[in-house]
Amino acid sequence: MAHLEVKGLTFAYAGSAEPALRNVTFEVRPGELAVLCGATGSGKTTLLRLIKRELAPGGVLNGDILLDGVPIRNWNPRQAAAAVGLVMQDPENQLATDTVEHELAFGMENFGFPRGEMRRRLAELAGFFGLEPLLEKPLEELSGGRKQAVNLAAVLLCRPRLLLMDEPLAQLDPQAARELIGLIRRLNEERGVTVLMSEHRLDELLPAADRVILLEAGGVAFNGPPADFIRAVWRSGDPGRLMFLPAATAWALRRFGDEALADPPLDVKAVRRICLTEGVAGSRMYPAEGLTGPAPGEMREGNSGSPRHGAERRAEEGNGRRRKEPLLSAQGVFFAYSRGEPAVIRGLDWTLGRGEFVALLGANGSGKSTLLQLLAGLRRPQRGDVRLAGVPVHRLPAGTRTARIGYLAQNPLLHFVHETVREELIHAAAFTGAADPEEEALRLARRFDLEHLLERHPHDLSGGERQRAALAIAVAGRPDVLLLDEPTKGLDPFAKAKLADELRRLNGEGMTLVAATHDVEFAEAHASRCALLFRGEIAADEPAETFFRGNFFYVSPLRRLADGRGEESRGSGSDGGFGDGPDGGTTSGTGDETESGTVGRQNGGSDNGTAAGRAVGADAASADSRPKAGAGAAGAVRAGWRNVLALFRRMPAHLWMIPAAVAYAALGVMAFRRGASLLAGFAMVFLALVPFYARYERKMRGARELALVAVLAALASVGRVPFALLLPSFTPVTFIVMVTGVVFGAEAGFIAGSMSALVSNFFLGQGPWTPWQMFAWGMAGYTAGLLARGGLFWRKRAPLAALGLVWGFLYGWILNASIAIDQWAQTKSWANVLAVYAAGLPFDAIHAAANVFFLALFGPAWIRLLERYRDKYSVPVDDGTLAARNL
Amino acid sequence: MDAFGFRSLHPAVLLVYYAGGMTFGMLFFHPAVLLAGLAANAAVHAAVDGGRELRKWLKFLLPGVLLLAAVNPLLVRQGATVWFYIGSLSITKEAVVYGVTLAAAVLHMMLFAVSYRVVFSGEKFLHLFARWAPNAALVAMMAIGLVPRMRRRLAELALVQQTRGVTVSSGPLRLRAASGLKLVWSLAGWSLEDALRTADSMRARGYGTGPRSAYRRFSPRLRDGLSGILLAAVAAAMLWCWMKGYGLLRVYPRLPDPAPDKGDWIALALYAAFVAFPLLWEWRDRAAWRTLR
Repeated sequence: MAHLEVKGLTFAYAGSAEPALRNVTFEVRPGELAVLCGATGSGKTTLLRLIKRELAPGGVLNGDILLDGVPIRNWNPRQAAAAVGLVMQDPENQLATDTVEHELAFGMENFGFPRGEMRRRLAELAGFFGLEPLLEKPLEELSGGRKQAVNLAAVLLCRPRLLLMDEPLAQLDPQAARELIGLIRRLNEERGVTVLMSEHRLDELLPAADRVILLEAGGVAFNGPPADFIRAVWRSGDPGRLMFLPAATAWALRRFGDEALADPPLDVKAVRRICLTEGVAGSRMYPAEGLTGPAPGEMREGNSGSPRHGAERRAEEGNGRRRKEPLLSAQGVFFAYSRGEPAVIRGLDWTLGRGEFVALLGANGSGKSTLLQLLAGLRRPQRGDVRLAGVPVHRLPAGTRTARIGYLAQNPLLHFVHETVREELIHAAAFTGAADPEEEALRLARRFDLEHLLERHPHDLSGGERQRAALAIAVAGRPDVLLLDEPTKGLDPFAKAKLADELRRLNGEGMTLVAATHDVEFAEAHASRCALLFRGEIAADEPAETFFRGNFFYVSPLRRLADGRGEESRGSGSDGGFGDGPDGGTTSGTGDETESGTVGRQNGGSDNGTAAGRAVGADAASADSRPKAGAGAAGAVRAGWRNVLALFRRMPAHLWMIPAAVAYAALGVMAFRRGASLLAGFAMVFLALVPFYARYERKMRGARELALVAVLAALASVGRVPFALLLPSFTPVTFIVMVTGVVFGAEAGFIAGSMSALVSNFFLGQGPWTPWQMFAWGMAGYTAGLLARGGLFWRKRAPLAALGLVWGFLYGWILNASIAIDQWAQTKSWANVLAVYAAGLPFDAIHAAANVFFLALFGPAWIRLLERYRDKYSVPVDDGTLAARNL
Repeated sequence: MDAFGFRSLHPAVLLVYYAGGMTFGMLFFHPAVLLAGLAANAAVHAAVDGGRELRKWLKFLLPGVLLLAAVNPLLVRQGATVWFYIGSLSITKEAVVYGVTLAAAVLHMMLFAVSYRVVFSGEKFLHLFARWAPNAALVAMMAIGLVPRMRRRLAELALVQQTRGVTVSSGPLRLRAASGLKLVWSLAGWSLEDALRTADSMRARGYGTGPRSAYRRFSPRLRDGLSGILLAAVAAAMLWCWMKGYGLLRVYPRLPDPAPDKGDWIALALYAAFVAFPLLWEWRDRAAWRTLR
């Protein structure tokens, strides 16, 4: 397969003097699995994006990137895109379409593969990934791990020579991460896929890696095989590097010193082997040696740096547990999401003592998040209650509750609703009753190291910074108890260490902490108590020390080592036995475009053959030859049918769409003249939609443009639901559509508006009303865009609100048109037409009021928001007036 | 699910059926023709899913339709035959008949819409328009994927934002609406940020490097060709009928004898056959099960 060479690569972002990469040189040989590690900001993502040419950031670049000896900039665009595949961090936002099958096909469609070829590849890979039963599923129903597997499969279907992965495991829970690593190892070992993967957690990865590249401040600090990596890192003694060592390896090196360094063990199994040869029994030595996991803080500062730590702390707290004053308690709590569904929490009793640091463990979907939300008073149990110091939490006013019970959601983005970090902090302080919110905000910023970020938009922060900002918001009221949902998810070792320090400090100040987590090492290193949630109840609740001793699976790698059990089958995939996979030699063949093309065509042929074959009731095995053999009239009919089909396939769609539209319009006119008013209206509205869509299709649209319009259309569709609960017709759809028109132009406004009608009706129910709604909302966006281009209401509230008022009525009038036309056809009386409109007036008035309300109050903020994205990513407005740099 | 019966037909044929059924349902304006169409439509519902969806929707649709039938004579003064008076309001026979016929036509459209929901999945719709309007179809596909994700995120936001005093479940209407929009606003920022990653992932997978091809799950079979020809033929015949004025009841100015004449009978037969067309494949495939058992 591929051979990647990076030679003397130096790169500085546009407008930045400091280079992000300095003289980076390395190579990845065919079939290798190379791991790229380094702290956040060391340039890993920049490097990967430079190799993936389509996503290369703008800036000054020196040096060369060669793939198979050819500089990547010399590859033609299509080949370059196909040759290098990229899987990114977040499993969700990489998904472009709606179902698994569409997602898998998407990449192949982009490369214009013939249909048969697509089906063949998809069939093959879906089998390998075990995705076959899921093909028709909406992507939304998949777990995070499965979504990431779909992303990986979607990339692999384009048969890249080189697979790049940018922290693909960071957002996954440990179980899903292990499964994905298994998949990647299989692909690498059995299929010879060349992989270059950036990752923080090397525990599972190092045994599979052929090469480790360590980036520090944009330069290559190490490049070589894993064993050498371990030796180099160990000898350097640099705490910033030691973090990358797997826990078991670090332990073995500390325990056995140079003996282990000769042939460094990469995983628990190898360490155990050393233990055996050295005659050390793991289980005996474990607690005696005071192993508390390689807490990064400890690494950095030595054992002295962390005061309340290790066995001594545990012993102290373990004893003191019963004596703790109860603070937050749940009694007989039952909770189900809706009436028909099984309960998630079933009769749970749990008490948290003041000043504890509790880790809540449990499998995916065991209800950890739900439990935290119940404890925080965000949800109310159907049975039982949650009390804070004896007072039911739902009795507390929201402000007090938030001030006393802090809650940090899994995704820090959920906490942000303002445009700068400063505003977020001030509002949080004010809501929790601070006397001087501005001063309090500054104090929070200082404390959580956010001072330099105060004017930034929360979405522009890095993962660790977001986490800190959200934490600052959550503890703004100095709560008695802080509930954290997966606080370590997606953080690199440094950010994690920083967070752990912060949490310990809060805990030291007397704050009670509860962290739901998958991160066993984190729990083991920091929690004083651990609880296991199982089937809606607390199945175990013990001091950390005894908890982990009793566990078999919920144990850190070090425990696994100490146990001397389990973990036998690690890396079993490498034993092979899968050599003759379904795809034979084709995966490796990259130069066989023509050959696979032929295969594809044959496949396409047999498609039709199969159809025919089945009609006769014969087996479809030799479908290709069947039509020739199948004599007589039936065979001729089928052959003719195939010809007709082929003719239709070759014909451009517009050739028969346009005459069809014209014919329908003519029918509409005739219908009107004969009094068939319903059809006349229908034909009219259909015809009105055609030119807009025809115009939208006149060229291929850029990915960003499509993605933005899709988001806005989806947003408007989603907006139809929650507001309708307040008052019928009181929805922000028209508002969102108009704002879209103002910022992205008339055309985008029309498409977003009409699409929101179409898309929301996929969920709410399609009907004869759909085209009317499409037209009405489309026009709302279109007129807003037209008038904005005339400079009428760039950021001005009054004219925008006035247009909103007009569209509140116009929308209803367009929707009533079908009945109004009918009244006209029946009676030829304007009074009757007016009567129809009068009947709808109350609803129209509410709609208009909603538009005015939203536009006057929020129009400018929304316009700012959308402009931010339009300018940040240079999306073209209308006819490409803004240059589209990166389509 | 989609392998047998009417559902198994190619989306293009399904489109011809629904477009034709709805178009001629709106063109013919004769109570007898429309009632026959309604009956055929109900039979199709029964065959396709045992009438489950229909029963679910009828309780929402019927009131509107009945209202339409009731309101028309109150609103319309046209017509020569005054039936009775409500106060000083004259109710004409013509307006009543017209209202009932119009209501039947509208109900008929609704029935089509409901069975469309059962038969015509979003995927089939996109399949059709991926070719006519590739950009729009892609946007629709992306938006359909986003809607459930955004709904989930909006619910999460609403939950977590309680801790910041942003709530739609309590307080005066103005504040609730403002809170609601604030939630949607922060969802917008989040989603737009995501959209750019999505665009990256699209470009990483070669979007925009040249013309696209279309992956298709549905390929037309002989059955689809036969169905298409049959439907087109019946539609052409119906068009001829309509041009000749069959299946049209001229209610105004004076109601003629509403009994169908010969031409109306032809229109009725053709239209009922067209609407009942799905039964053909439903029965054919059901028979296959019986004989194969």
